[in-house]
Parts: sequence; C-alpha cells; structure tokens
Amino acid sequence: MISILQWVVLGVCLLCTAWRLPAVRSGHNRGLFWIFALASIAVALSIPSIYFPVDKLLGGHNLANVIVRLSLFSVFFLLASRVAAAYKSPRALKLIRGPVGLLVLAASTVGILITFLLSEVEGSSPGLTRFGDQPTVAAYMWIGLSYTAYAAAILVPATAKTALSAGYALVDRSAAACLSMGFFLVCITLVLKLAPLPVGSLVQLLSFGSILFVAAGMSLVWFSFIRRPAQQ
Amino acid sequence: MTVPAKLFQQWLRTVAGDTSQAAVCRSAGIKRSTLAQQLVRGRVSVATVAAVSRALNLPVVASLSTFPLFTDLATGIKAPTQAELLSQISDYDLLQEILNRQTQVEGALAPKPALLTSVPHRSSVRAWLDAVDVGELRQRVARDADMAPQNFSAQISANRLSAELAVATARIANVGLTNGLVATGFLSPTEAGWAPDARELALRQTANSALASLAAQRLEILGRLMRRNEDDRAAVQSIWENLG
Repeated sequence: MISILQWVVLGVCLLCTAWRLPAVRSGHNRGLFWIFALASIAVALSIPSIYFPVDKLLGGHNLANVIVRLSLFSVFFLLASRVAAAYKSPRALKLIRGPVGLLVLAASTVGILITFLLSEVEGSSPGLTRFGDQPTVAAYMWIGLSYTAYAAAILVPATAKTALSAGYALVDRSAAACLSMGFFLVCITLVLKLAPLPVGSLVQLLSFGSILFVAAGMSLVWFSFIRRPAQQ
Repeated sequence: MTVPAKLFQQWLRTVAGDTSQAAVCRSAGIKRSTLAQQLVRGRVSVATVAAVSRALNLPVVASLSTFPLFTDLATGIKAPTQAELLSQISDYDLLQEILNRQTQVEGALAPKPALLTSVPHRSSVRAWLDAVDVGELRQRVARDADMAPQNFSAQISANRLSAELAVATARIANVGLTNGLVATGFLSPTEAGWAPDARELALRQTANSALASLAAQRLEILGRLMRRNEDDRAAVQSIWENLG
C-alpha cells in the first residue's frame, strides 16, 4: 500500500517537473522547476529499490539519506518563499527568508550534518531505520522533520486565509485549500512522531499524502493561471 | 424560494388546462428535468412559477398570490416612493442626468434625455434597501427571517435577495410588497404595478441638490466596490505571478 503510494507520488512529482520544463525555457518562474525536481529526488530516494543502488554508488554510508534531507530543506525553503509571496503574507515571508528563518535553516542544516557525522551508519538502510536506537540518529531525524514542520506551520494560516475568503474564485480557493491541507499534514506528521505511539506507516502515509495535496494545489493554481483573462 | 409542489400542480392544472408539462416547459424556457426535479423534491421555485406565468401571458403577481406565502402580494401593490424609483436608476444614468442639466445651464442645446437602462442595475438591491430604510431595517429583516446578519449582507453584496426576503423587507418597511422584487430583477417594473415612465418622471422631478447628494452617495459605494474588486484581482495576480 505504502509502496504503491510512493510510486504514485514519484510519478506525480516527475510529471510536475516535466510540466515546468517549457516554463524553464521561457524563463517564467524557474524556481518551481527546481522545487519539483528536488522533490522528485527526495521521493525517489525514499523508495528502497531506488535508495539501495544509489547509496551503493555513493559508497554505502547512507549519504543518500543526507541528500534526501537537504533536498527537502531546499524544497521547503523555496516553496515556502514562493507561497508566502503568492498569498501576500509578509509575516510568513519574514519568518522564512528573514533572519529568523535563515537562522533556523542554517542551524537545521548544520545540525543534520553534525549528527550524521557523529552516527555509526555503515550499510545502506532507507530512512536509517536500522540505526534508530542511536541517539544521534534520533536527533538527526528530529532535526530533519523540524525545519519542514516549521516552514509548513508558517504556511498553513497564510493559505487558509485565502481558502476561507469569499472574494476569490472557487478554483483559487480550492488551490489554497489543497496547499493548506498539505502543509497541515506535514505539521501533523511531527506531532504524531512526538506521540509515543507505533505510527510508522501512518506517518509515511501522511508525508506522501501531503505531497499529493501540495501538487494538487499547484496544479489548480496552474489551471486558474491558464484560464486567466487574456489581458493583464 | 419555493412553493409546495402539490399546490403548483393544482395551479398549473387550472391555468394551463390540458397542456402537457413538456409543452409548458418549452414555452416557459425551463428545462424539463429541472421542473421534474423540483416536483420530486416537493418544492417548486418561484422563478418557475414566474416563467410559466409569463409563458401563459398571466400576470406574475396574480399567479404568485395564489400561493400561501404570497397571498397578499397582489393586494399589497403600492406605487413606489420617489426614493424607491430613484434607487432603481443606475449610477451612470444619474450622472448622465447631472451632465445633461449642466449642458442645458451652459446654454448649449440640451441633449435628448436618453432612455434609462433597464432595472436591475449593479447595486440595485442595496440602493433599494437604503431607499426604504426606516432605521435598523436590515437587522429587523434578518431577525424576523431567523437569519444571520452576515448572511443577509452577503446576499446584498452579491446584489441578490430571495423573493421571500424581498417581500418581507417591503412589509416591514411599509412600502409596496412587489417593489423589492423589482430591485432583485425578479419582476419587471410593469409587472410590479409601476407606471411605465415612473422612473424617468421621478428623475426629472428631482432637484439638482438632491441629485448631486444621491450621486455622491452612489459613487462612494461604487468606489468601495471597485476597491474590493481591485484588491481581489491583485491578490489572484500575485498567486499567478509566484506559482503560475
């Protein structure tokens, strides 16, 4: 079930990346291409049958997992900046691109690298599940989740506001609602992990579900964009 | 706004006789499936009653009066007040009249008074409510209809008002019961019992000062409406620019 979902999400991400290709050539919103390309990398590397060969190529030290984390950080930083600007939330923009946001990002990145170097992670293991009992690996996982949850939590109210206001067309409100839902699920993932419950597959379900929601939201924005009035 | 399907069918039998439902729908310009659905649900919309009525050349107000909710509609017809008549003249027609009068003052040949655009205009519901307001009208209507005030104002902002609310408002404001239905566009002024040239006459009789104040009030509302539209458009534009 989870593995089917993973492949579906990978397909969606690749599709979105391909859909941004023409825009890259014309120079229109190139950032979106990178967001989807990096998301595709992160999703692909979370699938064991892709993770093992890639990590083997990188020496079998689970460097591939670091790549996943750093791709996710980039995706969330780029996406959050764009979404905050799109939905005109100066506060969200400040919390992402301002000093605080950059500090959180830098601290998370350094934290990931340090905890990874301090851990004994010889031998490929997707999601580092085999090393979960090491405190440094646990810290590594936490830091990885917290930046994404931080960025997502900032975006939930910014997008929900548009989803709930009557002044917008239905397609724009649905797009905002999908994005908001996706970011909300990211936050829920962190909360669920905090709870001492055996929630392994549920967390995965939520993470991939959140990607689907965000992709749906972006598609709806694009749908609204191509139907925009000819002028302007 | 609906009437019970059973009563509608009774009424249809008396006014249309043996004419088939399909034929009635065709001449009224209603989809057969729409009417069928309304009959199944047991509630037929008043718009259907009006459409059928027009198709059969029956006075719409008299037809509506046969249904319990609207029994006093026909007897409640009263000539619209001066303010009501002016409220149903569009902003641009008001401004045009001001310009025409100015042209006349300057000695130039007065342009032929143009025909007024037909009702309803862009904010006809709000204008009508303002014209008949006797103080706290909106609150009283919302309270009587057991409706949240913000839902009522949402209807007004969208230039809509259900037939039931339009009649209820007229009743509370003590004006002709059909007058609100003109503001919502549900009835034509003639159908509501207004004299053919009533609006034109009211406009010509309005003093310059009153006309100027009214126009100022209308422009204020128009400006607010435009600002809101522009803000909404700018917001969508920003989404497209960043995520499109």
